[in-house]
Amino acid sequence: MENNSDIKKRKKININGSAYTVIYSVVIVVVVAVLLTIASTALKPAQKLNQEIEKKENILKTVGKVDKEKAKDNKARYITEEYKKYITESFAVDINGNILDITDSIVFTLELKRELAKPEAERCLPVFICKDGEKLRYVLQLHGKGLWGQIWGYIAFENDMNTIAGVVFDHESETPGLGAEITLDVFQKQFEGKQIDEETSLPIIIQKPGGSLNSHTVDGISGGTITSRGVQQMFADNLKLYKGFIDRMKSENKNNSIETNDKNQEL
Amino acid sequence: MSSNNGLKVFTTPFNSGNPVTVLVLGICSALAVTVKLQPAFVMAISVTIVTGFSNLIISFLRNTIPNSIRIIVQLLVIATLVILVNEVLKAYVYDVSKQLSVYVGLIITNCILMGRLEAFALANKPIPSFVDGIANGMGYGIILIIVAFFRELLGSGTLFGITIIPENWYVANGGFYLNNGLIILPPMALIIVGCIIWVHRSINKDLQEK
Repeated sequence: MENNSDIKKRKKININGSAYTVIYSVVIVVVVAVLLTIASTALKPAQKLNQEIEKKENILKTVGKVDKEKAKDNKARYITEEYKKYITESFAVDINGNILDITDSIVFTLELKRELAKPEAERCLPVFICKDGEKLRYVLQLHGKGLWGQIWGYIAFENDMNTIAGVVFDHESETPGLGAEITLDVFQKQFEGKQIDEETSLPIIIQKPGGSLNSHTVDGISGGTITSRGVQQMFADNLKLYKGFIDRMKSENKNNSIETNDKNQEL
Repeated sequence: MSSNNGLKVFTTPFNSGNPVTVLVLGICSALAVTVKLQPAFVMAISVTIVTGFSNLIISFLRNTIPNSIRIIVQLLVIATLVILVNEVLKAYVYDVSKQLSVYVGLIITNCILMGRLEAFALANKPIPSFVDGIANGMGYGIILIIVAFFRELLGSGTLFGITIIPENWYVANGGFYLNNGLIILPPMALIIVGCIIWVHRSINKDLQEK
């Protein structure tokens, strides 16, 4: 039965003719395009919200303020509340460390990837300040290259701008089980408490696992050598970018401590 | 494929018509995503969904598609489905979509998809085509999961991220055991696939060439 109806159809239209082929391809492309546009537009707000929550979560993670158990129930709300509580201030600095006149909400949307494409003088580098009691920590953004694609993350410094409070890494398309292990806590935890070596240009050396470690080195990932190197390069490049800001903070700290020392002596 | 016996359509991909071990399709992605069980699992499910629905759609369209552009139309259907699935995941299950993001491209280029569209969906009715797509996706997924099981257990000492090998066995903790670093590299996946083909052929004698 079906074969008969098929033959009838073919008699009506020659489906292998040029005109039919052209019309067919136009129609199908338009249908697909409309379908994808609708899907993309309709789902955009929800996707954007997810990305925002993820960014807040990453910033909070570097300062150790994400409790996985508490985040389970209503992650979006938990993260938003914690973010409001701890991240008290955010601003952008230029390459010389001067604070730029940009509002908080715009600072939040700054992406280092886009800033890196701009000429040096026009770059706006985001800084987030986490206030936990009296303790201040500074969260900076990182962006670099792995083996297959981009890698990025955040790094939090203690008040001295030299000791690492925590890091978070993420990646676009590193190999699962190898390079992608940079997202694991085991790898990221190693950075806590490490210090920037001010003499060498490389802030943190990521070395072959198994060697002895000091306060400037961490273990890399077996089978993820190029991604590990990428992380190291990302540190070097991005801290150079923030150098102006870091230096200024350090000299301010020094002045403050001299002042307090003076006061102590006077007392 | 003239007999559209539903059960046979469903069972063939698991045995004499397995896409990986018999037709040797989809090998590239089988090497890439099998280091850990979890991504292998996610990949298996997504490929199953996409093969099923692309087979269904192409089968509905099969009498209208001009022969000269049929490959492009197939590709368009596959790509559209994959993008739609990805967009929906990104909006509602963000964590899963982050794991999947690497594999989206791999799903589109998976040879099994176009292989099934060409070999089955273009010549069969929608329902058997859908069954064929789902079964082939699952046949592929089972091999992925078997390979990933061995690679994750021997390579990382875990299954689904849960530690299986006791911590005190490791050399670092004074034991005798070391994870096999070689097995997490792609060539070992190929060797495991080879072993599966070997076992499969010695069980199913029909597959042996004379």
